[in-house]
Amino acid sequence: MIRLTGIEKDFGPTVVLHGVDLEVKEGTVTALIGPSGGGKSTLLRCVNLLERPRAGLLELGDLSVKFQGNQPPTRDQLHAVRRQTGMVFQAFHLFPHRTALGNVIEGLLTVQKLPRPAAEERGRALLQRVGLSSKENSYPGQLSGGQQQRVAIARALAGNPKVLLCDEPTSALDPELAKEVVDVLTALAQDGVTMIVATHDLRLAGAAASQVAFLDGGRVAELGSPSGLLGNPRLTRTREFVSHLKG
Amino acid sequence: MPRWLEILRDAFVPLVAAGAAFTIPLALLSFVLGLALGLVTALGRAFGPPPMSALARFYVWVIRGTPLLVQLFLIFYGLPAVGIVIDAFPAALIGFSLNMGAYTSEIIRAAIASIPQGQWEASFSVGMTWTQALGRTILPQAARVATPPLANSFIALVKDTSLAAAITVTELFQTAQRIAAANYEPLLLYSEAAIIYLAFCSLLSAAQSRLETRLGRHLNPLEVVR
Ligand SMILES: Nc1ncnc2c1ncn2[C@@H]1O[C@H](COP(=O)(O)OP(=O)(O)O)[C@@H](O)[C@H]1O
Ligand SMILES: [Mg+2]
Repeated sequence: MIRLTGIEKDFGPTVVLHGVDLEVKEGTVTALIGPSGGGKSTLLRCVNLLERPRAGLLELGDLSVKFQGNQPPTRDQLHAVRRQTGMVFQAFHLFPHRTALGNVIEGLLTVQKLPRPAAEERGRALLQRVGLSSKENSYPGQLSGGQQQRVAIARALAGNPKVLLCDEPTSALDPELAKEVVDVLTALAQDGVTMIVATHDLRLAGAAASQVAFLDGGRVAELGSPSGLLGNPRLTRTREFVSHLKG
Repeated sequence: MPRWLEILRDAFVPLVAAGAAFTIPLALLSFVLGLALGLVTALGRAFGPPPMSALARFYVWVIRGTPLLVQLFLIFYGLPAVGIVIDAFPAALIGFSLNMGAYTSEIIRAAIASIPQGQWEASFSVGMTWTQALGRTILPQAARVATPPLANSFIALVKDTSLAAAITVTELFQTAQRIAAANYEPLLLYSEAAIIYLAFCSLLSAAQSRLETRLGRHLNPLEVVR
């Protein structure tokens, strides 16, 4: 179970998250939709502490981190949270100086301190899972955008995280390449990987997700099932946004 | 054998010997020490607390704003006035290392800054500590960016070691001066010295290309050219 309670975040004078509550059951996918600037990226980054919330409670399974005042999380908390989460970025952010396999096993080698053969074995299995077995020795610069993002997904899964955080994983890709990433994420969802996915892609928000949150102005304005929220939204604001997504 | 060739031949061994005994060790050691100092200075300036950052800035400001020859004179001829006496070679080594440290720190700082923030975040997201992110993600990429300007500095340093002649280090150029003073053939001797410097710097340029290729394995050929 991943639970966010009253998460608030500001950047100096601008308050970006006004107390977000969200609960994600193990083995389910939550889609975050909402207008640009609504706080989707910031919320995801708060879950793995790339951003530090100014208030709220973050629970990842047994681990809970409370934010108050200017108290930074302890080193142990920080590393525990990072080990329990995997992040997929909009712009991939693969390590350009490492091969596909090198990217996937980087955390296993440096963080989990696995011996290289064991790390490589796990890395190869992950590359196979995202359909890139034949590319293990390619550098990111030699891969298509879709392939790079699949390597990034394998890298994020390497540490066996409790939750996979995906920040618009297909937004930087052509429709055709986006599809291969959607397919990989959908397959992972069917395998029971817990995910929070910020996305404008209705295939991800509709087919793969079990709940959809509409994040607007730093609040969860509406929360519901994919069919409910995307099919028959309660708020006018949500309705407008969803019809805009459907184009 | 014509006389000019004999003069060149007779001078060749002492010149190369002086180069091997002083010029090359001075250049190599100063470069290694300067690189270490430059890395520490760059990190202190970019990531250290305000006093450390200010100290790093001050050091770079002083060294870059004063002539290298004046720095060498200060260390070798000036410091004995306050009871600090340093032999010529170590004095030159200190001077050149301090100088390299200041220039390379700026190169390293710029190279680190050129690596996108996303690389730090990706490293953190796989669980790395700040030090691991620096060591395994940022510096290896920064090294590739910094190689051409660092090689430039190294080549400039090799030539600048001739300034050590002025503080009595018997390196290549000083040896050429000494022989020229004895046989009155400055044109021949200084030409020969110049050619030996040129040969050494050419070797370094070749080594630079190989290093760039090795550090840039992940780049496609177009990016390497750019
Ligand atoms: N590092 C930052 N500094 C200042 N403002 C930021 C920063 N990151 C995000 N913001 C602001 O926070 C708001 C939410 O942004 P973001 O989380 O990126 O939204 P979304 O991902 O939904 O488009 C925006 O108004 C954005 O300008
Ligand atoms: Mg965003």
